[in-house]
Amino acid sequence: MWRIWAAFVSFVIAFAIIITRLFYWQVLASESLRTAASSQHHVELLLPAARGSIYALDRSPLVINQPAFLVYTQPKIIKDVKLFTQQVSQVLGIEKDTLAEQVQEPDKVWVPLVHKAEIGVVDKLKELHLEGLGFEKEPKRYYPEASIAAYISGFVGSDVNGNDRGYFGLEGYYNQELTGKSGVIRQEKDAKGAPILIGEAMRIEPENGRDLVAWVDRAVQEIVDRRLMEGIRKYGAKEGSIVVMDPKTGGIMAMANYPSYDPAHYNMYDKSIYKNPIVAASYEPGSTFKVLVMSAALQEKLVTPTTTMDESGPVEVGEYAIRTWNNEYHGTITMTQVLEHSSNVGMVYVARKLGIETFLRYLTLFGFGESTGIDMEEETSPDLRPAKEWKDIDLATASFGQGIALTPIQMVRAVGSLANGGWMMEPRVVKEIIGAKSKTITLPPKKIRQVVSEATARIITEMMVSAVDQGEAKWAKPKGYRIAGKTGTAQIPVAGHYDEKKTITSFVGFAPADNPRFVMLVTLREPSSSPWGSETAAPLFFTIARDLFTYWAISPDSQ
Amino acid sequence: MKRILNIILGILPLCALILIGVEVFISNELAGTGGELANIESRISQEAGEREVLYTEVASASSLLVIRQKAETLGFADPGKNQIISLAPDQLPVAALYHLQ
Repeated sequence: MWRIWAAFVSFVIAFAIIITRLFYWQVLASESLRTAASSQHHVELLLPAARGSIYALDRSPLVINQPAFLVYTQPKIIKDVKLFTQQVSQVLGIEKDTLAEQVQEPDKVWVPLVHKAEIGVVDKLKELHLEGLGFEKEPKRYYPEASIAAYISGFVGSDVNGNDRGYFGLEGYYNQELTGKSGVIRQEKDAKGAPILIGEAMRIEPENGRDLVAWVDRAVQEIVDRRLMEGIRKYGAKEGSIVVMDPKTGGIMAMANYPSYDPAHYNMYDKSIYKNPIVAASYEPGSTFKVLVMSAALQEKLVTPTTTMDESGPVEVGEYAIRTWNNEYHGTITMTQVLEHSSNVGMVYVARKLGIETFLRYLTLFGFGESTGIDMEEETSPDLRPAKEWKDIDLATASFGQGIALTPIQMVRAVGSLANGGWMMEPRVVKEIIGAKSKTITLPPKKIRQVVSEATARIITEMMVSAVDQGEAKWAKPKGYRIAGKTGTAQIPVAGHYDEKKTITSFVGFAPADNPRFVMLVTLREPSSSPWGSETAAPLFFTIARDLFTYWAISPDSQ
Repeated sequence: MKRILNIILGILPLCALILIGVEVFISNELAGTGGELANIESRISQEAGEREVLYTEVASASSLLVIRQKAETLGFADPGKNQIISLAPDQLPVAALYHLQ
């Protein structure tokens, strides 16, 4: 009897073992087995999405994709490691020993050698017919116009997962629009790895990134870039920037900075250079700010172009004495002459008429203390001090653009409102976004607010034309054109005080005055040839203006 | 009636066998063309890559930088400060006249 029971128990144990094992294979390990089987029977290919391109206004390419490859090796397949490292290191320009180390690392199945290798290099590697060497498409950015619009485009680097990501400029701001969505092909394959047509197949098409069409005019950008470099050399400046905007649309036609960098080789430059100073760095505007203060006083009907004041000497503000820039005084002068002579004493008179509250209200109306909303990743805005912190001396110095910090794009936007009948426009770099099947989304120009009336804008325009025609920079102005503008020379604050020798020179203006085609700001930091805006930034502005008049076939005195 | 039924019953399995045979033959032919498909897709990929290369070459050749360098090589120079812009039609190049029309 016991033998029967022993046999029975043995059978039960044996069945239990089998069922446990089956449970393991069919339930616990089923997923991994299914995946392993799938990899033997199916081929899965990623269909990478192309990153969107960036075009200039005339649809010429500013940033496009160029074929490139990830070069990798599968060490376990390499037959002759010595031959492999010798031949590959020669082509890639890597140290042979470094390559040998990478290839001979224990337990490595797949080793990346070079990212984004260009077609020429890849073709040379393919000619070697080496086993264990593989290539995967990894496009990289190409800049047909080289680095002339570097600060507009930004660059493409990698994120923490090694995927492409845009940084700064348009690449950073529009990263999501530019990045596409990869597709996938999953297909049953035969023993040779070829797809089986009647087998299982799944295909998800990639969604390529959207293209951007910018307001940037390629020719204007080239002019601005070239003239800035010439200006830096001629005036011995350490840094410089130029921005050109259409005052009617807010469209940015050109932006250039010195020093600059090559976005194709961004990693060869210090990180501090990546941020666009036009949108991310502040400066004290100096006398260029006077046109805004004067327009505020005109709008409030506190002064007219012919209102007079007595400029017989320095003006006392508390314990301070405010002098003119050249310590010359002209007696009774009109408001127009205050701008012509760039009189700090005259501006203190205007600021006192405004008072701190009204002055600050106009600073806010002109958009200072807030970001402009331009579509560039790195924009910042210096804060405005609250009204209770302002003293009389602060009002006085701010009236001629010292003791107040703003970004160049804020300055251009504000002066642009004077060129646009008093209407302030939101600066924009991108005009259109082109999606799949050429579906185009147009980003319409955006009016922010009317800062001053059209009448006030016309009056201040005439005063600015007079400032150009009669001011210190009249010698450099193109003959026959009505250009509204203002020079600026601001001392640079260093460790709590102003350096007497170091200046930021600038010129802001728009032309033709009666129907402005552009508003432009030129700034030069520490020009060594002369510290004055009338002798550095102003002639550079006029040189570029002359080029633009020719480019747009604007005749002298044309409407 | 019974005779017709018997004929149909005899033909049906034959038809089924023929259709099965045809399906096996066609499936076999299609299964073997996967390799050709892979070749075609590889060629498409290669052509697309070459097209991208040519596009970048065209973009580079038509860049303002290259045009400026070629212009300088050909002897073009920047105009001086005094530039005369004339709008008289007989002084315009033919292409501009066409554009004005």
